[in-house]
Amino acid sequence: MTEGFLVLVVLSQAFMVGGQIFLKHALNKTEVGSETAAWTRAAPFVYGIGLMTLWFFLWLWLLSKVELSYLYPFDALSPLFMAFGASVALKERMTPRLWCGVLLIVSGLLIVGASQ
Amino acid sequence: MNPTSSSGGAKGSRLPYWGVLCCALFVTASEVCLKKGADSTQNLSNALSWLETQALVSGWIWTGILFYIVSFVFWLRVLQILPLNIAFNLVNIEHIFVPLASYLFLGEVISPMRAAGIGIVLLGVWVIAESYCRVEERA
Repeated sequence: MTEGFLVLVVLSQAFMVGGQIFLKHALNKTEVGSETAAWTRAAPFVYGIGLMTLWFFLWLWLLSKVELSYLYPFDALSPLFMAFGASVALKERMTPRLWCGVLLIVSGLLIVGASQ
Repeated sequence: MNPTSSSGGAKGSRLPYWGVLCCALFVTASEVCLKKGADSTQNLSNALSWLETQALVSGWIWTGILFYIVSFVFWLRVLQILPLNIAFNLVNIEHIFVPLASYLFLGEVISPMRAAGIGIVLLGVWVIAESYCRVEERA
């Protein structure tokens, strides 16, 4: 019965990671600074805002349907999803130290989620 | 492409950390306001003056939304400078501010286990911030 919700939770996390990647992509283009490409620069920014909006309402809807204790671990795993997303889509370098920090944050968040 | 990025990095070498801090603080403030607003809605039925409570509730909620927008502006400034991976993890410091703020302003209790989890998150944020500082010094 919760399998449907699982798909939606994963989808909402994908929206969030995708939205952030689009935002970063848009801001990266600004740094290159070609004046003519204003519209092509605006497009990823709009996609990013759009995905963040989808994530926000899907997450709000899930919060009203499913217990927070079920949802929180997925939220806690978001740094991990982001690490994969950013290294694949934006070619950001993942150092061992960065992985170490991500794992510490995720385990800390999971403990916070499990605590009463 | 290198000159623009390096000059931006040198000019704002301190900014990302202030930006991350402001972003996390405004998110925390917005969460506290939203929680206050949501709590006031719950005992709306037995409130003495319905209209007054309603105005107060929307006040908290609107302040919360305003703070959230301010934090988003800081987030965009941070993203301009830091790689997404670093920024996204550094902003996890909000997971330390939020329990602290809910302890101070909402009277919530932090259990020892929760405190331990918060400590581990803080360690993770520090590991990432410190490694990024080193990369910046080398560059």
